Amino acid sequence: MKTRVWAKAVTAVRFVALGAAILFGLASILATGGGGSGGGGGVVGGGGSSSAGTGTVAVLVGDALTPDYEHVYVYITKVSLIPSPGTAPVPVVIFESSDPAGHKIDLLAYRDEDFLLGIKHNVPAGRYEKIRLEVASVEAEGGPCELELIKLPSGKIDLNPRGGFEVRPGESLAIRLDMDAKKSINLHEAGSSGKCIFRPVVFVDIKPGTVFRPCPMNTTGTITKLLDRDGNGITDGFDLKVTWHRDALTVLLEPDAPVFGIDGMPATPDALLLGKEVWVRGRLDAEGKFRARVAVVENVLTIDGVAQGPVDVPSSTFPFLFDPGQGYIGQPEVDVALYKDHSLVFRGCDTEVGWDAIAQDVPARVFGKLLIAESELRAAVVLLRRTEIAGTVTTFTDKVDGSGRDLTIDTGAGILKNVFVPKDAPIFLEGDGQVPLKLVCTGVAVRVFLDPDAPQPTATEVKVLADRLEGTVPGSWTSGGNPLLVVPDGQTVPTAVHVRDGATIIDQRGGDYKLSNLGDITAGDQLKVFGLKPSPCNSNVDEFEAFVILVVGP
Amino acid sequence: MRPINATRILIGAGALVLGFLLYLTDRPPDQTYFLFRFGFEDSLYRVAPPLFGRLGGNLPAFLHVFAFILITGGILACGKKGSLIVAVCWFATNAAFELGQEFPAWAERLVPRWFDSIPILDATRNYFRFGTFDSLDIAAVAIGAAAAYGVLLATMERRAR
Repeated sequence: MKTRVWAKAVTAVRFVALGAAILFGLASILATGGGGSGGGGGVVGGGGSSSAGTGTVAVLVGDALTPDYEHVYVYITKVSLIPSPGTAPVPVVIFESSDPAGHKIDLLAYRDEDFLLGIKHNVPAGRYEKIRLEVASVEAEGGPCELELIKLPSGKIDLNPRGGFEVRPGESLAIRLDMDAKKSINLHEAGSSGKCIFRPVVFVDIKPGTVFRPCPMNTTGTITKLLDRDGNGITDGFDLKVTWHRDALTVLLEPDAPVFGIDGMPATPDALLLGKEVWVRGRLDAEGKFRARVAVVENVLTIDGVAQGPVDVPSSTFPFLFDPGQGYIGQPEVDVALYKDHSLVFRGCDTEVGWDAIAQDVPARVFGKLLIAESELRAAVVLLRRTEIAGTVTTFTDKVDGSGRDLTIDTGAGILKNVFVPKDAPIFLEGDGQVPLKLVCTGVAVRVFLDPDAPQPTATEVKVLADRLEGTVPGSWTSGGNPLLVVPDGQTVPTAVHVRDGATIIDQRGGDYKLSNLGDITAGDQLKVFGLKPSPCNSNVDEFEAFVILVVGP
Repeated sequence: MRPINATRILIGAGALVLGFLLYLTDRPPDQTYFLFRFGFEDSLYRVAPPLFGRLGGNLPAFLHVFAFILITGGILACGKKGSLIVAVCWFATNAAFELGQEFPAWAERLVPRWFDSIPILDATRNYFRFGTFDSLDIAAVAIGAAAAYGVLLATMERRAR
């Protein structure tokens, strides 16, 4: 009897063990993605949510002006989306560098246009909580951190857009990471182990569809597939393998998009061949496809300079003087060749204009091919850059009729220039939000972009350069009170800081960069405050006007 | 009934450990469900060079079927015929999952909605939706099953007469 019971118990244990082994075996197929090499496997690229369907997500990178540096190179290794709790927990990788050292991006090259870092289709629909940005290293040229080892406290930064975001089935979402180099690189003079620290300050802008900025994007890659959507035997699109990303970008040529050949001369779409490198300029559409306005076979140079005269007829060329510091020696001036019905001329970056808009002293950026022997630059695209006045406001006068404000700007060496700023002209703190016109007054550093058609200098846009205040919140500050008090580093007297409604406050302590509120700041916190220093125009004349606050310590 | 065959179970467990090591060193932690879910985010990936090189692509498929055939065969302590059934069953299971990646729409329809709210099972839909079918994985599974069957035969305990 006892033996039979024992035997039954052993059998039961064996069957339990067998059941557990089978369950574990099945579960491990799912949990490892079956283990195979099929990249993206159920494991991988999974992520997402319980919602059916998928969407498309594009990640773009932009930056604000940083006068302190000539170049800020950031080596990005990966960008992924972290699903919200309650959904499947695996991140969705949108971008992963094929080079373990990361993909090199010069942040300062993307002031006026965005860089398409990656685009991924088949992103599981559902809610996402964070964007995880992984950075391998940072280098700076020019400025106080040149030749310094820039330390990265954490190579992995979780960005928390307020409230998360949603990928909807069949829709596309563009995520723009505005990496503010000026705020990200912290200079620590007294540090003993490297003076410069990189704590990325990234403003995340998420919009369904596409475009964030007026300027289209440029990108280069290798054609992996030719498309003929209307079946008429003429190439009207292609899949482009970009060097920094594993997923191909589908490029659709706009109906009137000109094509240029290897020699920079007008060509037909027949010049677009499999395996050829091609440069395109255009925008992402709502489906995540790249709508190309122009395509050029093989390398394209981007050269900034100033037109030295109008377009000559019948040669269709104009003299062009290179801006200094672009690495071209002995060829400071060339003739830019334009081609009828092919070369595109834009004002700013988006408004197509006639060739007659090219005139003496008009600054321009030319995309084309340089023939050094012939001193000729064959242009695919000419962007007439905005004329600007940069300097410090010395005086201001409001118009009696309330139409705007006249500024006198010291552009350096005592040269004064007058400009009218209409009340509806957009005014931005460089890299941050909008600034009311009333704050643009004496002592404020500005870049004023001029209306090329106005008879007198008139602003179409104003960018205000932010002042910076670094220090510690004293114990005398009443928590949550506005103004905030900050004792600047090396001083003992606190500065009053008026925190504007809607100011961005980011807690950078730890890898999880959190959006915070004024109430989250406590005595002893170390802050970096960006805004406008005390001036007669501020809400209170003796208070620093804060637009962005970073909590960086302790 | 034969006693449990510990030798088989140990060999199977050893294969599982090897597979786990492979995931730690050769696969990105945030793209592998169990590494991410169970907190192995700071694995050896990126720290150490890939241990298994090109083999790392299909070796897990081999190890999985090999390990579970041996563990199952060890628990059941089965003989020649039983071993064949165990090997075929695990081969069929692994191959079916892999084939599901080739026909994701069809496979996804078989996944009940309630799977989406249960840990581990919630990866099923994504397994088929985002997985990529690889015929080499099928080959690896077949080789793994055959090898495991061979080991089962070699470790079969003779009945006492």
